[in-house]
Amino acid sequence: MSEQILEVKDLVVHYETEDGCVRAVNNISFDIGKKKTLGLVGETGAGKTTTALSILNLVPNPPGVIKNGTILLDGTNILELSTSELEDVRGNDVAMIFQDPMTALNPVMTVGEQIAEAIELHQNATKEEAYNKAKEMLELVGIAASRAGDYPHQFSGGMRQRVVIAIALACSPKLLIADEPTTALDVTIQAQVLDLMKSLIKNRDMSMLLITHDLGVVAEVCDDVAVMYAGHIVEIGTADEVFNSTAHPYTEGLFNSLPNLKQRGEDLVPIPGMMPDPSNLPEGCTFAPRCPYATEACKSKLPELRDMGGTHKVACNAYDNPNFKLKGVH
Amino acid sequence: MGKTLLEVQNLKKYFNTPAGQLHAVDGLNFKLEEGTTLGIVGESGCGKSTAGRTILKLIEPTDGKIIFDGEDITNYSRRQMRKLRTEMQIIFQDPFSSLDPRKNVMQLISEPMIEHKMYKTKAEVEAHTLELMKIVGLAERYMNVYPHELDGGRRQRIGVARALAVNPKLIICDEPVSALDVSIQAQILNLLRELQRDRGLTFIFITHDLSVVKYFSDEIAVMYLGQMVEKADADELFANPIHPYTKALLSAIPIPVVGKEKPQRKLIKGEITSPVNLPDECRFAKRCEEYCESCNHGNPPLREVRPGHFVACHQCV
Amino acid sequence: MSTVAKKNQNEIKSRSLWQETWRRLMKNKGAVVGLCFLVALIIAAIASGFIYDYDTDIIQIDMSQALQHPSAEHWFGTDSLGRDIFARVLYGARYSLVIGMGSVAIGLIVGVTLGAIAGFYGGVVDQIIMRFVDVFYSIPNIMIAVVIVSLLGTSTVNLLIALSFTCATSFTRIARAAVMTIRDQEYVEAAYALGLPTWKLILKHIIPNCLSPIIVQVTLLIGTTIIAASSLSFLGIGVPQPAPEWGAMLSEGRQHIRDASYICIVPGLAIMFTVLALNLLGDGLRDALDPRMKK
Repeated sequence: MSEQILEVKDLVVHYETEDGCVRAVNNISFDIGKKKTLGLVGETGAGKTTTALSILNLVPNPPGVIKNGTILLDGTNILELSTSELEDVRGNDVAMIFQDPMTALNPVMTVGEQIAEAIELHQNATKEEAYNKAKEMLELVGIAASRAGDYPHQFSGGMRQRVVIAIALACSPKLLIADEPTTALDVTIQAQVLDLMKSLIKNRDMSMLLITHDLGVVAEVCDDVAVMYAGHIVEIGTADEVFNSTAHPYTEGLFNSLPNLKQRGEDLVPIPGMMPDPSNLPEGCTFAPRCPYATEACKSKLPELRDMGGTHKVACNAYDNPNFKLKGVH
Repeated sequence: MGKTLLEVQNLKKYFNTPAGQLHAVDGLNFKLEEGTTLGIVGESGCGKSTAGRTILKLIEPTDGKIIFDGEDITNYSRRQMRKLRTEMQIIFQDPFSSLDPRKNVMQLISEPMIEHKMYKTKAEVEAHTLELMKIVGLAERYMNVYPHELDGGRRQRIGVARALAVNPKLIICDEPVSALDVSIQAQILNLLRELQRDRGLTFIFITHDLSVVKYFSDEIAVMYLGQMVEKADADELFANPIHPYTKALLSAIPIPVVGKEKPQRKLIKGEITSPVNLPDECRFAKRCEEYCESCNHGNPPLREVRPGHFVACHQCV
Repeated sequence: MSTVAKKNQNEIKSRSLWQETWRRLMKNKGAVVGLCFLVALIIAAIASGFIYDYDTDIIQIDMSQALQHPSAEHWFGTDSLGRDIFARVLYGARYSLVIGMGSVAIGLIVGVTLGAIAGFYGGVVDQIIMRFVDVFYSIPNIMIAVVIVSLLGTSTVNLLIALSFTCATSFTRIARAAVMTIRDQEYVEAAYALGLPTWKLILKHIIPNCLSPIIVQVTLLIGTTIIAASSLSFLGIGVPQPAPEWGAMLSEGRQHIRDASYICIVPGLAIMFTVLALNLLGDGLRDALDPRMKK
């Protein structure tokens, strides 16, 4: 058995639409170790959600096509599984939590039934056993078991997200994929849900891929971080490496854009411009047009991930010059 | 000190719902000086957006007074308000739904100028529109583009340009950056700030994101269930938060720092209760860490604890 | 050369939502076929007025030519009174199209106005308008038309008015539903905050955004109305004799359906193809206007 629960290698996903080819994910590789949490950070359109969907082979096809790559889940290549084998994996070995707790639940089923459904489906349990387990799950996520007979509309947003988490965890998956699980929630509720997720993961033999745009959330929850930009991973490493020895200009730009690190009165330092259109990516480094360190070479040469010591890797041409250093974060 | 541009006295907005009376805004009081920014912070359902819309009289207030530039506008008719629209404007949260999808950038930005007949000729309107586009950082070539062809950041710039088009004194920003990505957020925040510096604008900045208001506001008001629970100078509020809810809000912000010392997080239990048929007690009592008997004794009023620092809490006074 | 390239780079390809819709519509084969057929039909209908003389070519009885089967001289044959069916069908398109479009146009104006008012203001106004519409909706279309035509007398104009009632009720419902959704959109509030008076709000921001379902309904309703008009003419209370209305022609051909079936078949096909074309176009428009509906 390998040490990694998930190994993604050279993944390429394109959306082939009438208006041209959208290059959503371009040759990315990452691993998630057992009991580890990887944070996948990036802005809208960076390809985070597409990456997550490909792990379950759920990329809508058409127009989405997984062009290349292997996705090894505990040693088996997901992309080679048949539909029925995949159904077995989904919900059982890998569970997914989506951003919007309002639409992720079926409004005409009680929450207890919805949790029990997942258990029945994957664990050969009787209806009664499953329902009892469902009640346990509710208690686990901090909802009284007596509310198992309630319908989703009787719960608030935060509570609903707890129910979604209960469904996801019901079959004790090896890997949990959480796509912006707290973005739709208020800060105080977000803090509650993050704490809950953190403790659940610690207590179970489970790994997590957390997709978020919020560096604060990453710092709270993740062991490792991968920063995505225009379908590429531009920086990857442990949270400590990425946060405290930031190496990529884009990551640095993200930190500098955050208002909460600044004192009042100063202007923020935003990243100029915007993310390139993924159907029309520039040649060379995709970040070059917005990058303060970009040189002529960056416009033609696509940077590859290079080792920065430890597990830290960064994709930036500037490091061709051995003396190169970022101006510094914060 | 500057002159008071806006004064709100005991502003209330109740909605009648099948379940009973919904207290969206319940007794708001504040004064806003020209050229300053008031940040209104709170979670969803605390009435902050309703407050903003009621101040602009997009919604009729149930009770209270709104005094704008020395005039009591509470009972202004729609027609009277229409003239005042050049003085007070709003920037909306969602740059996707707040722009008419069938109008192009030129039409969107020039609409307010044409409506208020600010310029005589078409050429003047066009020239001014282009000037506005330049101010908010939209390249001239986007003139004939439709909003669905633009990204969130550029759309929000259109929203800002529209609000600026009538040369208002007061702009209410209702979560103007929460739908945007961080790197774009910073661009828009800087833009708003520059505009305030250059034009002496007065802002009410409504948001759920405390880190954004800290950067932006002179004074911050924290709202909970339709009421202000704490109000203070921004620095003072962040340095010495008094109300348990403010403290909880502050500590709930995830800090993007790894491995270094971080303040212990203090979570509050439960969720915001329904603003329908509220009991006569402290509205935060059920979630409060420092709850005790006396919290049941009526809804605490906002009291000045320190100069300029107001708190509504039975315990903290 | 280089200046051209530079200019192109700076110019942004911009397409309004209407242009996008047109582009998508043109990709739908059915809709294009429907549209082409309708354009051809309209041109033919207009041209028929110049080619044929109503009194001599369309309604003049010539028993010596009666019941001629299709030939080089009479492409679709002649009817029992010796009139050329090709000419009559072509000329008949004018009646069908005028009645179809006319009653839909009247229905559109009345219905959208009422629907917009009901949807925008809500409350009592809404209640009054919608209950009134409900009453009309609960009576069969043909019956309303029969009653109105009987009251006013049979004539093309009266038929048009009779049919417009049905159209109006259906437009009122659609416009009301659309306006109610659009009314709560943030950009309407934004326009209000900019100081636009209510009527401008409705006219400039709400109606243009409500047009999608209304346009679809227009095409589909023209088809329905053409059928209704033909049915009424078939029953003898539509366009009065001897005008070459398609339904009336069907009715006349009835007696000869065994020996000269083409008298019925030709106007029957005309109705069928026209309505089919309208429905194809309507479905295409629905998909083009709302890409999310399409899978």
